[in-house]
Amino acid sequence: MTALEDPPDLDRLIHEPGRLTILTILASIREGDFVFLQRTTGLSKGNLSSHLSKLEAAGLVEIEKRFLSKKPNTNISITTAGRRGVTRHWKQLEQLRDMDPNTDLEGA
Amino acid sequence: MNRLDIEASAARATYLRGLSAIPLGLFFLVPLGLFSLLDAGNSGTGQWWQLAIVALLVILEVAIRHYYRTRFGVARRGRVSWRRAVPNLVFPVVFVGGLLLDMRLHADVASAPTWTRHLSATMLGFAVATLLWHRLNVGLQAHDLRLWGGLTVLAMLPVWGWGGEDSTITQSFMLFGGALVLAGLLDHRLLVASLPTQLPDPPLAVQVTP
Repeated sequence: MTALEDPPDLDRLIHEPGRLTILTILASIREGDFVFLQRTTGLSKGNLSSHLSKLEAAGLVEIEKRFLSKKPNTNISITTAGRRGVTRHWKQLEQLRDMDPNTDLEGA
Repeated sequence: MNRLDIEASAARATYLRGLSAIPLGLFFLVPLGLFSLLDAGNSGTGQWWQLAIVALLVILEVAIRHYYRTRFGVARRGRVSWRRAVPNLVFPVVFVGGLLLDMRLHADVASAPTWTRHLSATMLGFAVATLLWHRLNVGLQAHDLRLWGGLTVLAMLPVWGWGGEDSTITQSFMLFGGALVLAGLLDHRLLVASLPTQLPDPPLAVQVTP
């Protein structure tokens, strides 16, 4: 059996490009608000909201709705499980790339 | 999709909020630089003008922070690692170190070595500290290298202090202030250009169509 026949088992929830981007950004900071994630991911409000709901349901992020200067603000932070998950996922993607140097992670 | 690109984008969105540097740049340029140059800060009217300008700059800074908070959001960094703590510790030391050295040299011109009289330790400290801060926090951009690298070289050329004993520090303040304003505008332009295009939500009719 070659290495390519035994690829790592990717978590499809994390593998979706929008969710992978959100988790990677949150892992590189401690927490960010909805507007920050919207600007850095380029996702529409609806898409970002939908991805965040799925990530929250999976226990990968925590969402806190609060008021800052009397204005509503949604704060999102990554959980320990989310941080572990995204770190493991990037390692798996790098393993895949190492198995086949022609693998294009740009399309991940 | 690349992990490092995504992390760099998050770092740029956190640190390249360049317009925030403009009030500080104007503070160095006008109250500290121009008023000293014109010797206008000592009169009663001059002091009131200085206070008024500082108050305006504080209001401007608050407005700019509000703009960034509402348009670009808020991010809080994680635990302070040594890698991130170092630039924040080194920055004030190098920044103030050059200024103190110049003050010491110019306080006792007679005993200072001749070759130091027309160099600017103040400008050298400011430029090196700013280069270090950018390098360690967000990575050096092309305009950082040109601007702060150029000022580092300029600080070591004998072009300073020809207008009198205190003029080196005043000239450094003004040049640093102008450079901060310019760098702030360039950082902001880079921030806006580097963020992905914002996608609008599709119309409701499209969302419900199977």
